Amino acid sequence: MSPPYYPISDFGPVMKGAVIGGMGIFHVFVAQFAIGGGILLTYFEWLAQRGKEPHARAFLNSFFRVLVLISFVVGALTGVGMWFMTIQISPRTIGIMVDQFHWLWATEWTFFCLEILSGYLFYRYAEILSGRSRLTLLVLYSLAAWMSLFWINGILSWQLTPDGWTQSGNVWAGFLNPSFWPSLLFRTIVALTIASLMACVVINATPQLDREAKASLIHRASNLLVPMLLMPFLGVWYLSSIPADSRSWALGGSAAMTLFLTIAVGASLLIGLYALIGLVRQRLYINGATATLLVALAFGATAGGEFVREGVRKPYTIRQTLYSNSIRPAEVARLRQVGCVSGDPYPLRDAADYPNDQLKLGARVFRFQCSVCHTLNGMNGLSELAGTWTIDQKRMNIAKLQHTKPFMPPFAGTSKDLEALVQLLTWKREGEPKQWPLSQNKAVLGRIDQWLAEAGTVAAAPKEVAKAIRGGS
Amino acid sequence: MDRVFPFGLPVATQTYLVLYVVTLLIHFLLIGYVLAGSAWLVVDRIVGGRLATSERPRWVSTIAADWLPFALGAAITAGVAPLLFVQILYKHSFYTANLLLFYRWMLMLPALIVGFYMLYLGKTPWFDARPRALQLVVRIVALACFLYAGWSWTENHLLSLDHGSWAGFYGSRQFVYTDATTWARCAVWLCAAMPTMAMTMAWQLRDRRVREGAETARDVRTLALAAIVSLVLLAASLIWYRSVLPASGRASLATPAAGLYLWFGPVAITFQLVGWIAALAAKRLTSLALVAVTIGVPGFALCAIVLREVLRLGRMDLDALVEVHQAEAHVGGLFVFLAFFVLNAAVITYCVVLVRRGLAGRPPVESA
Repeated sequence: MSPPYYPISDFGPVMKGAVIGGMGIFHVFVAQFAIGGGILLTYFEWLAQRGKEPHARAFLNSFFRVLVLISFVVGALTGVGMWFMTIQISPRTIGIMVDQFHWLWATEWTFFCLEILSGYLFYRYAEILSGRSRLTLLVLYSLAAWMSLFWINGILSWQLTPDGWTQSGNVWAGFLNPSFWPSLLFRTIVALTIASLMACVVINATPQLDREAKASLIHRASNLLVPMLLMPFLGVWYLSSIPADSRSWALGGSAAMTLFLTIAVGASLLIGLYALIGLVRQRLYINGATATLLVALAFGATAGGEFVREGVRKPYTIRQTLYSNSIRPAEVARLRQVGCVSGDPYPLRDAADYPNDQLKLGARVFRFQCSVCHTLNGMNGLSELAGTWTIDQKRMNIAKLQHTKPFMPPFAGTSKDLEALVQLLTWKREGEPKQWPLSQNKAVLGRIDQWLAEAGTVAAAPKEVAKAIRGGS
Repeated sequence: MDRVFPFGLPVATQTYLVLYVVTLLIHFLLIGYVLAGSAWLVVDRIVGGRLATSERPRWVSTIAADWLPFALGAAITAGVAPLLFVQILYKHSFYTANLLLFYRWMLMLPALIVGFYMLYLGKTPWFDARPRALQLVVRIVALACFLYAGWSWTENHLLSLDHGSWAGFYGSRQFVYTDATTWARCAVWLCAAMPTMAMTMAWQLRDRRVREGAETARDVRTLALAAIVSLVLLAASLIWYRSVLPASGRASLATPAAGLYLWFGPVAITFQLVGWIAALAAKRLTSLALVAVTIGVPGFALCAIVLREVLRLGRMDLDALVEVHQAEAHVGGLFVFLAFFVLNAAVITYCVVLVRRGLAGRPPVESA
């Protein structure tokens, strides 16, 4: 079984994961703002109709304008952008997701249509509608937005915890996976939090409201921050639902994962303490600058959380199904026999830059197996990561890649492929000299073959990984 | 493909193809409104000042400026479904074309965001207070963004079909693709956009006249003339397109799969011409005109989209595609989709009815 080959784009010194991660974080933040914003607006409409908040209507109009201009435009287009960007980074990942969940994605689309239409009707006609009609439109808008989250959450959480689906292939076993509910509830609270903080910004920026009105509205908006109390429990539930090795990396096994988790937890804690003690309990006034700062903190928390969610999936993009470099576990053994780029029809764009064919092969191996997460000399560059290794260290560490670093997939190529990659890294490290000798020593290739055989063709087993992390190896 | 499209194909392929065609049709009707509406506003900024008087508002421009942001939002939302189904149907070729065009393709997103905000800007009091030259710039930027998006889709589609060129295209570091049919195709879609916008606008003008007693005779005449000219140009573009189509493409169009649509396409254009000529003659939008145009526009769009698929399937390894579709059809969730499709369609209809009731007897809201 050979993988399908796609043309691979070169992002220069920028790591592809950083590009899709950056866009993803921005999209998630805006999308969650849209979801929480709908619920907040429904709450304020209800307050206005019950006569509990005299300034609610004035706020509603200005907030809905912000919601429409941000979420309807940037939110919708970055959503499509995420799709296109995922195709750019890993067409195979999005392809498998579409294969498995296209009817659920289509279902999400029906809710997306309802969200956009009910939202726009409210935006355009709210002033001439009866109270009941206004509330109906807002309830439908909020429900549709949340249902959109419901469907996409199942697909995204499946990537990390496909558990039952892996055995049965049943779409519902994949959708209602172990991390589905904690993830959905956690994201719902995040959505409420972002909307509440954004509301505080908008309230401060609404000129027709006096200080007293603003204080009253801020107090109402801060009620939506109360569910943050549940965040620690949902966080623990989520962590307990993910695989042991993924959890281990987030909780100390990987310095980067732990750092980002700390950022997410720390930022959430700061927001939560300020919100619950300052805004809810002591009814403090929050000015525009502070509210904006809290929104920035919420963005930081979202960024940290999303980074961890994406990072702890390694070495997979879909656990047990597809490695980060878009190779299926079942394909590794065959690629070890036939070579990983023997079926790749796409030439090198910079072939003339390499002094010999072995380096050209190395460049193609790098492009196919490594370039999705690494650059050569830029961000997460292999020249830096493996630059100080001796040449034999490179050979062995790459041959036993899944054991060298448990979050790396196994090397999927022949000993010639591997040696070509090692020569490429060494040549790069040496400053790309014009002349470079071929490395064709049979004894070297034999040693690589032996290391490849010792490493096996499967990823490091989860228990082994967790054990290795605990042991500090 | 020895039977009329989509018959003669396995059920799985048929299902995905029909869903793709229907959702793309909805998307096209909306995007046609956006494209032609934006073009109309550019022309309006160039010549409108001379034609307009305060007593005689230009209804087409007023309505287009008012509704374009929503139409674009709806078009993008509607576009998500065909984007999903095209991935199921033609995954490898669609993804490859995306990847080959790389940043040129991805630039479409910021272009659409800029275009979107230009449309919103065009509804603000700030815009109304600016000099006409600046207003023209805003309108041109919006139109340019949408033209870029349309061109990108055409380019992507054609590159996805040209399997033999992929490796060479990649190696050459090119990011712009054209073939013999590119400009003729663009001309067909652009010329089809104006009559599409005119159909929706006709109903909007009628609504204004019925609800507010607005005097729309001059607008109907202008709209009808624009639609008739566009339809004539559309016919010419179709002849141009056929003349540049390679022999393999002509062979695909000669199969039974295309026959019905090749016949109904010109009929649909004729329906539109009859409708608009009737409106010109009566100096108003008669029921006959509205019905003829409302049959003709989606009818032509359906034929064009189906023929596009017939041409595409003619260049694909159909057996390999069918195998993939049959494997994909086994995943669950179809009935959930159908149930929520019906339910949400009903809820959307209810929302519209709710607003129509609220609108009854009340003045429209211009500032939304």
